[in-house]
Amino acid sequence: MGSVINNILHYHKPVRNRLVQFLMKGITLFKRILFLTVVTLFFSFPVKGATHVIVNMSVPNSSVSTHTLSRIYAMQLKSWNSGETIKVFMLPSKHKIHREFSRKQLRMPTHQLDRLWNRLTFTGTGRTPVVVKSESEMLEKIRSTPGAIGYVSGNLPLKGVKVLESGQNHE
Amino acid sequence: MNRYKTAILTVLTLCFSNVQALEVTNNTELHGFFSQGYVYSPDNDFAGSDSEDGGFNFREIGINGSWNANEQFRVTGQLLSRTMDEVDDGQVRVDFLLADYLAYSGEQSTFGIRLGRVKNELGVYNSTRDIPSARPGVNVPNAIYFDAFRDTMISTDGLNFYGSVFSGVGTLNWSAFTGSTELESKVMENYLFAQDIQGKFDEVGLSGLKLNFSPSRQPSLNFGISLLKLDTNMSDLQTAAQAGYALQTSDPVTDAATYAATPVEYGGLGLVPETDGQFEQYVGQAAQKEASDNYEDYITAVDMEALFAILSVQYAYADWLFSAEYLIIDSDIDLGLLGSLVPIETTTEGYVLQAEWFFKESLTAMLRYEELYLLNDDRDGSKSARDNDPYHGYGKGLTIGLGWDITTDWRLTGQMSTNEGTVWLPSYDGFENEDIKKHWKTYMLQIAYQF
Repeated sequence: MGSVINNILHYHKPVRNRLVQFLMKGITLFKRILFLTVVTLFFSFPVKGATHVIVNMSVPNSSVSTHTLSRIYAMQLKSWNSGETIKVFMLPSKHKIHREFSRKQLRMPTHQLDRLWNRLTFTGTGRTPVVVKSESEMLEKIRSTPGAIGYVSGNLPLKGVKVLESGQNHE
Repeated sequence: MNRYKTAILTVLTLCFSNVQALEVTNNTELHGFFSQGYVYSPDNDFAGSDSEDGGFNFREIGINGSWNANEQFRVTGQLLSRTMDEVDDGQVRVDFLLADYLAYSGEQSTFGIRLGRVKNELGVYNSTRDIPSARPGVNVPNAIYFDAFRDTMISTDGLNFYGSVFSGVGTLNWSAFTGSTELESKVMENYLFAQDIQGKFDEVGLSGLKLNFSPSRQPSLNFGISLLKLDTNMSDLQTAAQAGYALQTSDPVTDAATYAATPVEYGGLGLVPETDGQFEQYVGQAAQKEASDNYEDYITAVDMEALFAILSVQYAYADWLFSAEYLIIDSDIDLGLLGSLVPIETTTEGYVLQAEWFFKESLTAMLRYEELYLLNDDRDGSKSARDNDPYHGYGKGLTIGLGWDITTDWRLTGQMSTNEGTVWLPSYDGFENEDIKKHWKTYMLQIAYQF
């Protein structure tokens, strides 16, 4: 039996080539699976984002989980544990910091968020986040609005607001 | 008058078009959108005669305002004009107008009540079928959101309870509604009888429920179940006596009577009406044939009860969004023919599979496959074939689309579909005279703007 296979491998080049091709395909597939697994694992651990989640000083929380954060930005969760109404702020959809925030902190593509908010507005089922033009305006609004939540990049001095620890492991 | 109203709406929308989400005061907001479409449907006329050579008679204009009295109470409404060639003339309608009271809002749950005209949340897209920016392509999937039930399903004048429950397991959003809706168009008649019959559907009773669940462990997964029960009947129908008289005096029956009474030597049967039972039998046969051939002319009652169920799953992975939906409609129709009731039970079944790929910051590709069967035990559609449209009983369609967000407010969407069967080909007055083809393609382009 072994010699038959040897024969085929030695003397039948087309068959050998096909076998080699088949093996190569298998290896490529394996590599892809490995890559996907690594990517999935990577994304399932908290990623330190460059964006900071900030809240008004009136908010007693010190951290927020990814899940709670997405509930807040989906406009489903409307009150803090203290009972205070959550006031949601965002930068324009096309803003680099907004994209980073939705990808890294909410784990949601911006398109999906946009569609969700369009649905709320145009079906009369809810309010949408207040859009601010710049990071400095964001800081100002969060500072002055009780119950407010927003986000900024790490480039600005975060005075007068509270930075929430965020990620998968936080509550 | 309608054109006039549409013009005002257009002007209003354009006036505000250079302002983003107009915030009139701190508590009042104004939003709006419009879309202009181009449809080229070379095989079958789509929604009218325009589209066969390419038509621009497709438009949507919406303007909406909301007033937030405080954190708990708000009032919001939207005017909508929808032009769809022969199917919809762009008449301005109140799309929704409601008072919303958030009765409870806590860390674990929220609960609220809406009163007024409320959009029905059913499946993934029912409430957003007219909102360009919330649709996956130029249109929503045909197999689930086909036109025949659009007016019936779109909104309810009544009560809507809604809420969310947050737990470690996941997030559950729910919405329940009850009330009624007025039917203006003849779409339902066309759908059931393939023609405009005497009498009309006016009010439809509706109650529905939607549950949506997203597990904590996999928030990118979303499961939905939607139920809708509707009942309606036709009013202004003819009475049994009127229908009976119409049958007696119909051409085939009077012709048969004349022929039967004509003496044999003149080519007739020579039966004597007063004495001969054979005469009644002969004319009776003609009446029976006429009543079954043209039953639409002898309808004396239509009572309809239907239960819709839609199962939905959505899964977001990286730049992809996958959606799958399954629809089943159980209809019970009590049809009165010449005064006697004929119960008809049907089950309609459809599904859609759709993948969206957000491959560039402003570009989206979409692939969709869908099937719909008017009668679920009649996959080739032969039982629901109609004289003018033999392919009405089923539909299979493949659609590819591309969306481009030109700016945050402007969006251009293109889509092409290839279809077999015509179940979701919109019907309109004059549809019965069209030469319907089994295989048909559509090419659609739409530009949309919103603020």
